[in-house]
Amino acid sequence: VKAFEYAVPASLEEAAALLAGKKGRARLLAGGTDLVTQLQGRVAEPERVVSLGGLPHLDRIEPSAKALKIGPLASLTGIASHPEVRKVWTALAEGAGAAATPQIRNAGTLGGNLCQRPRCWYFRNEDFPCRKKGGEICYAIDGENKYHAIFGGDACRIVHPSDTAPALVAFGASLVAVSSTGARDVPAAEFFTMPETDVRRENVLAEDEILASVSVPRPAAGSRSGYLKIREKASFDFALVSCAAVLTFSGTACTAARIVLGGVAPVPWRCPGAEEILAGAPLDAMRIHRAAEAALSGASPLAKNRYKIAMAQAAVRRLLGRLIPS
Amino acid sequence: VAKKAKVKLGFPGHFRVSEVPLAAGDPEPLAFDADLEVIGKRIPRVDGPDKASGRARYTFDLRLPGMLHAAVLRCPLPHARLRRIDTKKASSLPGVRAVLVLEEREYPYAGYEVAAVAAETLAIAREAVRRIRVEYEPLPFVTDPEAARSPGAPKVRPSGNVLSSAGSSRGDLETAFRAADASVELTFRTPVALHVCLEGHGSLARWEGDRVTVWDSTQAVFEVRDALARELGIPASKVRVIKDHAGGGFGSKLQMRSYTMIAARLARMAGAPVRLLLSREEDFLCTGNRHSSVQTIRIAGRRDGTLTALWWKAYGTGGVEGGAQTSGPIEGLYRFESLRVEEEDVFTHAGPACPMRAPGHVQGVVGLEGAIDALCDELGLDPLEVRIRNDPSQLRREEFRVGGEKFGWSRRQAPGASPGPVKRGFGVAGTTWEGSGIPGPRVEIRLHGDGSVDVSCGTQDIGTGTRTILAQVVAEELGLEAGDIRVHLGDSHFPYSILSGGSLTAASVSPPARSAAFAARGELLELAAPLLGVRAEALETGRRQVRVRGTTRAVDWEELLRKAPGGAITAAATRGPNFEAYHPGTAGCQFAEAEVDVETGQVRVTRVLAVHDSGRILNPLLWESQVNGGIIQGISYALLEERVMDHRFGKVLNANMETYKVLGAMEVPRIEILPFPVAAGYNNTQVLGIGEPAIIPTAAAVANAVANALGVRITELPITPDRVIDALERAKEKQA
Repeated sequence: VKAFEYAVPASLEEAAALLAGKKGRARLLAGGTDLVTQLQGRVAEPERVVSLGGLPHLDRIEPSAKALKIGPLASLTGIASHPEVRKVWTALAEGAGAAATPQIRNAGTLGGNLCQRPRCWYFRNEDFPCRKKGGEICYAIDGENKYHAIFGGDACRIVHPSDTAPALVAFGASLVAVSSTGARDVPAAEFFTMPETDVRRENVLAEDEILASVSVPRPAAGSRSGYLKIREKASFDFALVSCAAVLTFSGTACTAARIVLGGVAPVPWRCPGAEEILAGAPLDAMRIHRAAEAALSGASPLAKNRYKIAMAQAAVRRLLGRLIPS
Repeated sequence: VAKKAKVKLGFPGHFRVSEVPLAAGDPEPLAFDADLEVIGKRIPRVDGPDKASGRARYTFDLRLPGMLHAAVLRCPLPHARLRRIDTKKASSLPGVRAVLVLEEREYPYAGYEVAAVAAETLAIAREAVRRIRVEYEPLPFVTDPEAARSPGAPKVRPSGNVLSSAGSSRGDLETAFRAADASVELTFRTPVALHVCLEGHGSLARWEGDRVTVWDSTQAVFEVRDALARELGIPASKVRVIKDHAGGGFGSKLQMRSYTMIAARLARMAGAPVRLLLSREEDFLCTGNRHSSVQTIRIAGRRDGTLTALWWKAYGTGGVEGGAQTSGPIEGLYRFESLRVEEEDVFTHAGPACPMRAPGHVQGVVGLEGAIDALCDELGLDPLEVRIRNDPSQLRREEFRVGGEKFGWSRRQAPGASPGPVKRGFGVAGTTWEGSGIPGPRVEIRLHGDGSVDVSCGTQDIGTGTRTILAQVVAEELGLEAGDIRVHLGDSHFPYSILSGGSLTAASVSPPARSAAFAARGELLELAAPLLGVRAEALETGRRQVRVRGTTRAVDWEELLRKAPGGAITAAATRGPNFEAYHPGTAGCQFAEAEVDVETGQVRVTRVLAVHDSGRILNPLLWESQVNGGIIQGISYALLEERVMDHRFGKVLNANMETYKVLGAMEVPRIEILPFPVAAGYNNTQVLGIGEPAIIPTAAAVANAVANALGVRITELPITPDRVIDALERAKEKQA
């Protein structure tokens, strides 16, 4: 670990000012489950680490008639085990519960889960100066790319590692970013950015901005949601592919659908083609099958990750099958 | 005149009596059906409470006054020569006490040590390493074994990258294949796998004058002593190696590695103890691995289930190290009228292979047992019946039968017949391993007046329970309980013992422990005889007493040992050569049930039944623990473990426990273990090793179960979801 200055601000504004003062050479610390490994692996060498641990009220999980408000320091365990979140925002609770291990879910926060850096083994290895670290090459494109993206271009083929992000995008959540100069709302779908926007970042947060809260609208009456994660190990493993779905039913007819894939692209991958097929009719096996195929249309797999297409289609089919009202 | 003893060899229904030589002073071999008080009992490991409470000290726990911490600079390139090195900025860092530049100037793999630093804290040592300026001259390299075999590939060794060895060969192979009712040819691929010891590799060195003591995480204190003495240019008598507890070795700690030598040299330079503990990444790059293999196997048989011919062409890479053979298990397992084995060791610019729990056998059985199943599928035969028909071992045939019945093998479906999308399959595989122990180890015991006993031996308990079984063997001989015995191991100042590998330990150290206890007991009885007015033959030992057999007339140990010089009886014995055996080493077999999701590609092993023999089972609790461990490690190898190398750069990408995946608790299936007791012969306890037999058949049985489920054989390990999906798509294309 490279030596750094450690700051414990008393307010979000102060924290933002501490970030602004270092112009990109400061990093936020919440649960630390990702940042500490980045520091140890010298993937991050900040001059200042700003701890959010001392800030009050940032760990709230507050459902209301209109929306679910979650603070960035809410633990993944807290979200996964919250009775009302489990009932109403099921996909989010299931996503939070599918991440990592019980120990990491206790320490890990929602903010950290959304802002964690990718797991790409070239990015995480100090010896590969990849594009995400300011270099010229995405080593994955012609390299060992089994775990990499099947959507996206030549800039960088990471997958977004978060298990909560697909659900937040599916629910149409909105995020608040604060800086020393103010606050702004960002829809979850626009929060995550493709490498083509800025290869060195995975989201829209500016160097001095902090994710301050997440608001998830209460889904319409008759909605059902879920998250399905496919991985090599049943615990302590990132998704090979995952799928979050929010479906609204009127009787047996599906009136609206949101399908978002994880593990397939540098951002949570929304599937409008699949959503269109699903909305407006009862879900039968044929319709689900067509939706799953549509969800993966446009995929451009690399040499070692073609399997993700069939696997993600299976994830979509399985999850939708599970969500059909009985 | 050499004495002889009669021993019963075999197993119920198949016993014979044989006469074996008895060395002077040795007890008669323990009879198969001897009525025993301590041996064979489920006694919890004697060091269990120390381990559970944290009192047990591993090398990683040790701290000495004034101790320094070391870090190593490693070459980042797969093949390079040193042009220039400047350590000034490291030496001048406050807290740095010694900087060592190693003598080698050419580095054969990424991760090879270049220099090392000892400093007051680990953070300073690591920072100092980063301040060493090095200029490397990159040299041509090759890490892909297929590329390394081609002419013109960069040379790893001056003599070339390929070392051919011919194994067994007999019969007329061509004729046999022509005459066969069916033959199949398959190519199996197994990955480079890692030992993943929970306790990493490391060493702590302390000099006192011209003598050095190292606390080393090792399976071999005497080998480390001798190798370190050679490296340092001092007599072995000036080196002491200690290892109290080990958090796993699996073969990766059978030899001294450079970290021990570096710690000792830095300690001498700094004039202070130095501890060098490798990080997980260093562990994964530099301390050994299980070699890969590519096995092209052609196998033929007759409709009646007779295996007739086997042509085994294999190569593998152990990086810069040799030893990548996989044909070892063929001869021990099945009879082939015609056989040809051709093997190649391929050298690459990658970290060295070393023995890993049943080296070569785990890989070879995957190929052999997979090929047999493929042939059975081709001939429409039952794989279990074919194995029983072709297995020369009466013991293993019986184990196959007993296991098949218990497992419910008759419910096995035809390949691919299980309805989807989650298909279920059965697989089976056999094992063969030597593990009969070797002569040499010496055990010393001291009887004290309080009825306690000290046992010393330079063997090491690598987590298998050696302390406990030695306590049991000695307690049995002296009429004591295991808790009365203190066992001291893991110190090169104790009487010599062999390294703890090859499943040799129990079979090599339990016989001399018994002999030493027998001798001490004899002395104790001789002391008691005049006091009780009878001949020693009429006496027996009990807790803290010597009694006239069949009476209550007794004398206390305390009183007796007051007459012994120093108040104790000391005796020692050395392990002699093996005598006649019932069976060459151990047999055994395992059955696996797997579920394969044909849509997601996920494989789950749901059930394993293991049938194993290893002669007398000294402690069923420890024995089952070894079998459980072998099965879990075997499933992990079958489904998850693979070192991933980017051959473009010669760099390992997953030198960490996130992406080098190891089986977790949630993937462990129901495991049933059937011990198969055998009067083994070989030695006076009739014990054989179980450590390695327990892992040999697991991956093969799992791979066969997956193939049975799918009706499509996946011939590359680990069987990960991507490989399942790709194999099913290829099969579908082939059909269409």
